[in-house]
Order: sequence, then C-alpha cells, then structure tokens
Amino acid sequence: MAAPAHGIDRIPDSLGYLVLTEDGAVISSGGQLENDEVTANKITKIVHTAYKIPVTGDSRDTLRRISVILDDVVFMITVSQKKIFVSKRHYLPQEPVPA
Amino acid sequence: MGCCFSSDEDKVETNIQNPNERTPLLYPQPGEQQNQGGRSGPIYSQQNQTGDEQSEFTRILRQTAINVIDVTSTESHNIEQGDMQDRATQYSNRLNMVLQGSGKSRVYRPNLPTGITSPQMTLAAAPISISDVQLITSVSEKLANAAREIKIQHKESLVVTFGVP
Repeated sequence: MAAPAHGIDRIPDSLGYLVLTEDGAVISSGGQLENDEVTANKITKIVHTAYKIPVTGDSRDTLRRISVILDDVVFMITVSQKKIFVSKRHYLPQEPVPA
Repeated sequence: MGCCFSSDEDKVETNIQNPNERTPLLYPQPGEQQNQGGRSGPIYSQQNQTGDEQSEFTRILRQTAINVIDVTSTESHNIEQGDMQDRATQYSNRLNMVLQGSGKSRVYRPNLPTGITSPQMTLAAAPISISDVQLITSVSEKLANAAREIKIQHKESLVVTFGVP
C-alpha cells in the first residue's frame, strides 16, 4: 500500500492518513484513519465545497491546503493529481499564544 | 401493391420486413388485398396466389433468421483488445455528450483541479499558527454578527403603479 500513499504515510507525528479519489472512494489508508469511510465522505464534501470558494480574484489560484483543527489534532487536506490526500496530525503550533 | 402512398400497403410491407410479436403468420387473403390495392387485383390468378404465399413465408423465415441474435455465435466471436477500447471510448463519449446536454454532468462527475505536485511536502509542513487561527475565528465571528444585524427597513410601497393619474 506504500505506492499509492505518495509518502504521506511517512509524515512524522502523523496519527493516520487517507488517500481518496475525487468522488471520495478510499484508495489507501492507515493509522487512526484506516478504512474510515465516514471521515472520508465528510472530507470529500469539505474539499468540493472549498474549491467553489475563490481564493483570489484570479480563478486559477486555488487552495493549497485545508486545515481542520479539532482540539489538539489537525486534519491536513490537499489535492494532487485529482486525488485527495489527508493527514491527521497532533496540533502542535510552533508560535506561543499571543497575550 | 407498388403504391408507395397507400397506408394499408405500407403496413403490410413493414410487417414483413420487421417481423415482431404482432406480425400475422397468415397474411390477408389475396381477395382482401385486391380490395385494398384495387388496381393490381385482377392480375393475380389462383396459381400465383399459392406461389406468392410460399415466397412470402420464405421471406419471413429469412428475415427472422437475420433479426434473431445468435447467442452461441456471439460468445465465440472474439473482439480484439484495441477494438474493445475503441468501442469503450466511443460509448463513453456518447454518454458524456448526452450528459452534458442534459446538464447533469456536474452531478455525476465531480471535477477537482490537478492540484499541487507534492502532497507529502504540503501535508508535512508546519501547521497553521494559533494567531492565524484566532484571526480567522474573530473575523468570521464579526462578519457573522454583522450579517445578523442587517435589518431591512420598509420605506416605500413595493407595488408601484405606472401611468395611473
């Protein structure tokens, strides 16, 4: 299963990963997200909605990464080669909280 | 017979060429045909009628044999790989044409852009800073509050009359 994961299974501090087709079918998965089709469907909807929102005035500019932060974990989502890549990681912000 | 514009004649002709469940096995007697055709009637003699019936039956049999799909011969008939792919692309092209025409293509084909080239780099990058998250949260809260406070004040009549003194 390493080949279709494109290396996102080797991201440090990763809790789990998903590789989906553009219609939400799971191509590859691992960790806490292994075969998690419920999360996969929700993320697919988020991605398709997010792509309808223009980022800048130029329609060729699209999003690079979506971060869904839930308490101390973050779902990082990106699209490459018409596939959706998801990585679930601990949310460890590097900057201290400004007062 | 021979009159292309007669609807009764056409009916008989089509039935013979495309036999279906409604095709009569016995055709109307030549006497009836004489009544329908009118002009060509007197030419037939009794001997010709039996010969015509025989040839009609032969024609029906031949047409049926052509129309029936022989399953056994289809199974043994191998399609070349390239031929198969050609047909598949042809069918999908036709399907897409129909779907585009009906305006439903977007429903069946969610279209994502190509996106970025290296997903592992993007996903492994440092997460968004807390100050950015707080900025986004506070701005969206302010926008939501502002949108909630929009009130429409009724000032003028919605229905305007034109040309009435």
